[in-house]
Amino acid sequence: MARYDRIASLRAPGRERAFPGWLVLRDLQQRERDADLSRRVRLRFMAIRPVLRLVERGIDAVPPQSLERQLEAVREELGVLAARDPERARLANYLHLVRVRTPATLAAATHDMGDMAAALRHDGAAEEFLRASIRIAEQHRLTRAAVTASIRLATLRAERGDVEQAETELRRAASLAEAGDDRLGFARAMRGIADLLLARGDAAGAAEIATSLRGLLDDSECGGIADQVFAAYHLATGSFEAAVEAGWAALERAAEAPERSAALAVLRSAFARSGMLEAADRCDDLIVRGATDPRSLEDEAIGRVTTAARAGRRDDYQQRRAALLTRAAEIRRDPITVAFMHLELGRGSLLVGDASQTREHLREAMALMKRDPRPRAAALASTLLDQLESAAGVEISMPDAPSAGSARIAAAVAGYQEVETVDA
Amino acid sequence: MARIAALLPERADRDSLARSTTPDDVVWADSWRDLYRLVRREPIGVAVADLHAESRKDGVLRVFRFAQRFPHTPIVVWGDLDGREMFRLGKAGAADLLPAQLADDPVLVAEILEEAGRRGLTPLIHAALADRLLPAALAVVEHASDHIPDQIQVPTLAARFGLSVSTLERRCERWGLPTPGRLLLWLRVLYGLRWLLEPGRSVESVADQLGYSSGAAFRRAIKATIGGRPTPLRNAEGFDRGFEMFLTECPGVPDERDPASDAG
Repeated sequence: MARYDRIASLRAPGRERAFPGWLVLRDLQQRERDADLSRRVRLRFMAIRPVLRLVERGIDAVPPQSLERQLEAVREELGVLAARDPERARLANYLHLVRVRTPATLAAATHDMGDMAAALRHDGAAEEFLRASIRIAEQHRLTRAAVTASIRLATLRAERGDVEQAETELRRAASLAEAGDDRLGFARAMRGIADLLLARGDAAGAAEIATSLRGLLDDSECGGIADQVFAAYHLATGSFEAAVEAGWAALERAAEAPERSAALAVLRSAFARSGMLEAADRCDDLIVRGATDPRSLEDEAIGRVTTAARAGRRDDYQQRRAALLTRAAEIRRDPITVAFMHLELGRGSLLVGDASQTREHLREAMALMKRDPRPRAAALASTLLDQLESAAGVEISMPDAPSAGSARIAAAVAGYQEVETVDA
Repeated sequence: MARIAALLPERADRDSLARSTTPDDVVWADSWRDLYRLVRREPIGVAVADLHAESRKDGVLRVFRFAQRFPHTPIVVWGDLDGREMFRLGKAGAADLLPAQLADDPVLVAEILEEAGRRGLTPLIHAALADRLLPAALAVVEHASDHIPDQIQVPTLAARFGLSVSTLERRCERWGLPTPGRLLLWLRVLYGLRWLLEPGRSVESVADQLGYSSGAAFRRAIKATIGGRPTPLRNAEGFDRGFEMFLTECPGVPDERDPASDAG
């Protein structure tokens, strides 16, 4: 008979009761037997502790030798990760930045670790590192860093379904940016709010934000963000040609990598919805080349598979879907990554009108999620189920033929220069 | 620093802890049972235990049981800890961790122990009084609270802030606080009530920990502040009642620097 595990049944402590850094370990919830994850969270815990110490006591208050001991303890254990493991290099860079011990490097280091953890869907670590980044940045009045980290944290929360918390964080970021005269940060935060409004069907609210951004800020200041929001608005309201035009305007005006990626993402969707699969694929290529976070093979392939679905190209979608499933079966991935893949494919299958395939993917995803429940996956599954139920009996319409204007823009994107990777 | 009860079978660990604190501050346990005994009988502010102190025992479960018996006595867990153990220790109620690789850094060890020892009454006081007391007044109250386990007396409290006893008394009156002596009396009573929330303690042991000559002396202190006897107060409501009564004796004063806050 299995022994009753008294500790496993205990609830996790809340933030106010947990000891410093414990919340990074939350990713082990219901995965305690995952030895690889156990090694990673332990490293992350050891890594965040010196930064939390600096935050609590003051950057200059911790004796250098003592801090170095903590950092060295982490460095000595990097070998538990394989030499080619992306996290190993990221941690090494993190330790280097922490060692430099300026507010800017500390904020950047923790933000980078938060991004990395978020890309791996380890939300516990992602949240804690991003919160640390925000604290450091706010303590030392690094407005742009605080706003950027806040926006990233809001995105994380939105992805796991905490929409209310996400909006609160974005509004806080917008206020912070306004007070610190960070116009680009303000525009980015407002774009995030517009995305949330669109997600809950408030297209008019999103358009209002785009209009006010255009009125408040010069295009050169907000990097085409107003155009991004307009593009998303047009997508949501079915004006795909207008979405392509606005997306292209956003891309032309984008001065920094985050704006380029965001513009390419909305342009990709706009091309796809216009049935222009090749142009959408080109956008996806550009996004992938500009990315700094580790993306699983499935993340890259999923983008192309679901783009085909959005373009209404059933045959292309089914071909790509089959290739992805074959590839996924050959490579061992943790259950939650495969679950997310099935959820995305479920959306794609729904878009091309194959309800039984959608149900199949949803069933696979839910079976995997039982082994490793995550709020983000649960939110996606719930949305997909709602969409499946509301789409039952409805014929999915194919996009109209693209206009000359959209074709011209597609040609321009085909020749668009590659995006340079920008360090955080 | 508050007194430490330590269960550290390894000599190197004992030496590390000794280097991080003053020798008189540490009492050594040989087993978990011994640790419990020490916490019951001594004015222990923090417990320290090697997770693997007793082989073939689930150290995390031991920590959990300790945290249940003594919910207001923080326990810092020391040793070679893997990720799963760290995760479980957080759920079990550990106040903090000290991985073995860092145990020979006396600065870090001292910080962790100091931080663990600060949990308890002081944050509650801060939350309740921060809005009504001037910063200088709050600093005195919080310092007194932090050092009740050290059996702080009025002259020491005054000296800490560079004041004579009589000056401190006048300041307390101006700040809307009880006299320093009554302030310390209240804080001892509140500490005592908090410790009495721990199932493992007796009135006699708590009295001893607070520096009273006997349980009877502690009972008189309770009568002089809250009224009544300790035993009926051995619950959360009893502590809350005592805390509320303490707060009524700390009304504070309007901010002297803010003309708008002058009483009409």
